Amino acid sequence: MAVSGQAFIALLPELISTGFLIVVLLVGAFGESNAGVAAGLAALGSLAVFVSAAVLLATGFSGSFFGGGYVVDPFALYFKLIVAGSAFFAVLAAARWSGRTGDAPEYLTLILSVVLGASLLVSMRDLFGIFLSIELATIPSYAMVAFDRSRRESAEGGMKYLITGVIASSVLLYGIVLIYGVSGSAQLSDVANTFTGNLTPVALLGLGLMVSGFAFKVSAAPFHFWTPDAYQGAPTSAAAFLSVAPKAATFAVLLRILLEGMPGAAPTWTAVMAFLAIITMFVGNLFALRQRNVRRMLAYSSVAHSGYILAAFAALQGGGAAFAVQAVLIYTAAYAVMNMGAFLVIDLVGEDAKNYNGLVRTNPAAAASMGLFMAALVGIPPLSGFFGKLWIIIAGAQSGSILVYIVVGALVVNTVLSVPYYFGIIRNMILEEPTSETGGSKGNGAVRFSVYVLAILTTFFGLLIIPLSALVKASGLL
Amino acid sequence: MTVAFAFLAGMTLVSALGVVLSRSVVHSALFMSGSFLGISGFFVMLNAPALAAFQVLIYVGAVTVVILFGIMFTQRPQVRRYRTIINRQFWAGFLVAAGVGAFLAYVLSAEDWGGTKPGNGPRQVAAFGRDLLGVSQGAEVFTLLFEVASVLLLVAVVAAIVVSRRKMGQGIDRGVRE
Repeated sequence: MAVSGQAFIALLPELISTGFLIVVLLVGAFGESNAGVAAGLAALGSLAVFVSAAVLLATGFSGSFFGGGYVVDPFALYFKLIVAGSAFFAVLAAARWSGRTGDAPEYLTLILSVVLGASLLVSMRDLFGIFLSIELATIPSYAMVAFDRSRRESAEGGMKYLITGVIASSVLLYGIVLIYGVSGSAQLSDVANTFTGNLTPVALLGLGLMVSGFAFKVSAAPFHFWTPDAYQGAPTSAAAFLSVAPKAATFAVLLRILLEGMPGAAPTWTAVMAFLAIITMFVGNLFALRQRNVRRMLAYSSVAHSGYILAAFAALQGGGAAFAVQAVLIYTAAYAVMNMGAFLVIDLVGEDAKNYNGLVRTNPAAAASMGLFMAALVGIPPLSGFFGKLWIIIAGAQSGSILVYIVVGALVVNTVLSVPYYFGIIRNMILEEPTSETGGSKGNGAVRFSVYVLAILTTFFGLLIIPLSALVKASGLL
Repeated sequence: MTVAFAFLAGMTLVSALGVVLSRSVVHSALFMSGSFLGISGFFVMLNAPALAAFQVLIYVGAVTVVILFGIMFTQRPQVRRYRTIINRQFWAGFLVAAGVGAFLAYVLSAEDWGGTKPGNGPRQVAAFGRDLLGVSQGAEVFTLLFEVASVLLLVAVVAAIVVSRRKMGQGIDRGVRE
């Protein structure tokens, strides 16, 4: 018997999401007006994935399966929780909207398949498995971006995302193949034997191509060009979900590859990460400053936040390594709640900056939520974004490397740079008079519920930080 | 061995050039099957006959046929315009491609590949199947990859159908129009 019963328990989150994926797809085949049923099932499915990952985490289940290619550890389960949780809010936000398109089951199936791909991705220890699961998370996201047939930008964004995404995938695959060629194995533990301090040109090229592929997937500059068009064109729920879940999973697997597969080459890749982090932060924030469209602004802001997380990757050396791993975990959780919330407010209010004029008088609850998300994205204590940045700065300070000090300096400068555009929205909401363009009456109960829950999570993230950091310390990657 | 390699490399490269340079999309598709055939020859030389068989069956056979069907159903005037865009950026594209090619050739030839031997892949389909389904020792991960690949294909089909449906509507446009 090649596959043990334990392996089925290990695969529980994936098996549940596959099951619900198929059921939701079949709902579409058996009736026209089953949008509500499909949405209910999809929400239940993402909750079930969340609960199964939480149960595995609580019972301390861990181990390595399928010949070492698939691993369950607290680190993987932590990211499965983030992915499934954000999928739940994405499904809630998409329920009514996707019902109007008439293709609700298909749209929700795509969300669940991203969940499946992302949760496989964070558990993979085999390079080809990593490639397959990253594709499983990306291919449905192309369709999600292009899903809104009532807007031209949706098709345009989807097309741009598809073409650049396929090129990035082939670059990533080429890098993986070269790494496989040099080390003779796709297992990360075997790769670690080859990737020591002395890298041959081919190993270096493989590493470079692989990192470029990943940099595209997390929209790090200079591979970020698809981001604003894709997020502007995508349905709001898709932009909110895709800017959080696949990105968190990609950062997780990149961390796993670098720490488990290439610990010996750390001086090389931390330098690459430092370089990427600095460019990404500046590009994201400087372009975000010029946007009048809130969706586009948030897209560039998500580029900037990828830069902040990459700054933690640059600090994966010296005494700061353990803290840097924690920083990545805490930042992705903090980013997930605040960024999803900010995107979902667009569904309630609108995507033009003018829609926010005087919002505090017409719709105080939405205005307060948006204000919280914006302040959290800047990193004002005690909101969620603050803790992420705090951890990165601590990790950087302990790393003892001049380059990392420069990266941390750039992070501080960029935080200041980002204040005008985030606070511009808050200024519009409070100081401007409400006009006919002021939004706030759109959206439905499910979207409003998601926004308020995310706002509460953003506000009280500080209370979660103690259990969260205990969990993060036990994550077991370092 | 060298003669066979030169022949296969020439066939792959010439057909690949044909794909890019030919003016008709149908010719491009046919050239592509020639290029795939050359690659399956490489698999034979690398001791992976089962893989070569799949390459012929799936790529030379199925994929080419599907592409030809696709062309047949979607043949539109804008195909010509797509050609002119490529021609306008010919030199820039050519320089980038040549530069990348030269760089890769240099890096790959600088590496000492002495420790790497051609694989000894399964020769019988049955052995290949055992590998793929994880029954044989040391290949368990392929079970998982095999299953993931099947879900991936399902999801890709759903995604493709969702995107290519024509009319926007209020839940009444089930099924194929046109």
